[in-house]
Amino acid sequence: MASYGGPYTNDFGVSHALVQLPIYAVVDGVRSTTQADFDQTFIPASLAAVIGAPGSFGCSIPETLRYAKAYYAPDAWLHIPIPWPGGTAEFNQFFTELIAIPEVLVTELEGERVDCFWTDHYANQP
Amino acid sequence: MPISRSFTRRYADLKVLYDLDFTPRQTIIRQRVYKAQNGIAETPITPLLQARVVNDSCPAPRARPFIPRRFFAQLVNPATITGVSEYQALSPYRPTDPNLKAHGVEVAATAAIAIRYQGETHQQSVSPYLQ
Repeated sequence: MASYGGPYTNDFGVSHALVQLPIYAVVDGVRSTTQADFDQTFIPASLAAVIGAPGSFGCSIPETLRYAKAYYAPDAWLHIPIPWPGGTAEFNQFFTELIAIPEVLVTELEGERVDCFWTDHYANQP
Repeated sequence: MPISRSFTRRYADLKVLYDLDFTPRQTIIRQRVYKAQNGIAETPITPLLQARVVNDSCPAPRARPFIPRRFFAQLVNPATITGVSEYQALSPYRPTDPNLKAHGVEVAATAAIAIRYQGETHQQSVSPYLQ
């Protein structure tokens, strides 16, 4: 797994400047590590512009990040975090670029998950 | 109070105008409203969700190619083995809309003892939304 430091804004509009954005593959249901040069093939330009080098520092935040499932084989997909919430121009741009990558066969979206404590906290933030 | 092993579940369906994460797309999806044995709705339908309900005579669409963003409201229910029931209130407002947070506050202000959130999920290709 290559982890990259980068920004992340959750669905409630709370932004963090430097968050761990891990990229890894799931092959036949088993999570496996990818090399940084393999990741480069699949990272859309808009994401590459905001993340650091492989292994760069990022904090962890108390929610499961939203991510794209980019299938590059019928039984293998890459977990690519999406720093921007739905409804933004960057979100659409991210997917437009990802779909245009020839190695990507199908792209799916997995929404972020926020637990009870933090949902209450974020919803009540001014 | 004895635990009821089985009973008929009462529900009604609402049609809701829903903003997809992929701007500017919108669609109409179904919100199932579960009811108690006495007919009172248990699923939290708050004013912001009610504001998006479509009232016409067409039946609510059944299938949808994605899972909408939604709040899960946990309510005390002594009739279940765990003592808690969880109801889903879909949120028709996309994340850039301040009404998403406001809707969360509304759901939390119902009889819910806790709420959690899950964002919009697509288990099929998203490319049709970007054309």
